[in-house]
Amino acid sequence: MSEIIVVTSGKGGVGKTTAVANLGTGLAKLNKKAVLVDTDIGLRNLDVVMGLENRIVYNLIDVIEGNCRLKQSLIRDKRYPNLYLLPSAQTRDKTAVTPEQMIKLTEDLAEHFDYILLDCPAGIEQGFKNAVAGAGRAIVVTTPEVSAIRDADRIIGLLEANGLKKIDLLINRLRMDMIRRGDMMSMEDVVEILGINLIGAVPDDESVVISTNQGEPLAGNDTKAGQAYLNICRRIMGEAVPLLDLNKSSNILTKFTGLFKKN
Amino acid sequence: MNFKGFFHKNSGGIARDRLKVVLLSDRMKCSPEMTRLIKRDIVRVLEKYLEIEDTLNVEVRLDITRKIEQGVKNVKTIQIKGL
Repeated sequence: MSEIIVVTSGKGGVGKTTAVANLGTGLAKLNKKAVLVDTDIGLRNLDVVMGLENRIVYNLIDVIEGNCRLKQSLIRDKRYPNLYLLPSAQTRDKTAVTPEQMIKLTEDLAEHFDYILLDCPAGIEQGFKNAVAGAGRAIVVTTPEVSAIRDADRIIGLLEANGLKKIDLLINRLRMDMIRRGDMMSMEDVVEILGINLIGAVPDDESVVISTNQGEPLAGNDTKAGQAYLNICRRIMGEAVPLLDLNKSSNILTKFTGLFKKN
Repeated sequence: MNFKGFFHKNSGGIARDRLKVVLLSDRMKCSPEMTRLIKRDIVRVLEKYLEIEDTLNVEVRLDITRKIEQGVKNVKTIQIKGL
């Protein structure tokens, strides 16, 4: 049985693409067959976050317009035999695709994969409608900021209006030091305000920037963020995994031992 | 002990409170400015019919309820006291 999951947020820059790259990588590491679909037509980015930008030949528009077969357009990630990417087109815009075409595409993909992760563009216009059309489940990404949470609330309303039943929340870029000082909303605050199920929280971690620079998603790595993403993957698969204790990272001792481990 | 927090609220708490107001307004499609105008107009109407002096104490409580997609009802209460 395959699941089609849209990763969305409303607001831009909260980490949708990074989340998709890491969730895909994590699911592949857990031996699931996953395909990542970049639906952000005109603003393609998932390929660079995955480090697969040099291997693109065909894209989503080519498949939809019948210029190539679905299999030809899929890029296999050589690091994980179970992970594939369907890149977006850079030269067109959101109006090049209709929700009906996206439904057809995701149905075709569902025959071959366990998980189809859709990277949704920011906003609530055509691009959002296309990405949501074929999805059976949604993960809403937000950061602990007023603007991002407001947009997330709006998105949750729109997803429910679209008939999506399973909507989970992913809180990104939590800074435990600021939360302790009272200068950042906590995980509990955000969950209470939005009132949907929390699937995981990812700390604000330098390693995420480094991994994006290198084009190597960090899910499953020996970093707080890497562990958090892998835990989220397990929860997506239905396992009951307790929330990671993000406070641990502030401990000077663990920071030092972490330093030595890396070298 | 955080001395700054002694005098004014931490910014996380401010964010949470602002967010709650904003989200209620968004979900209700009714902004704080709108409720201010509703209040003002109600007072004007009452003044047309009632001679409101210091001796007459009128209290108006108006509940605006909107059912939203989540199936949860959002209620916004406008209270006008001591006209």
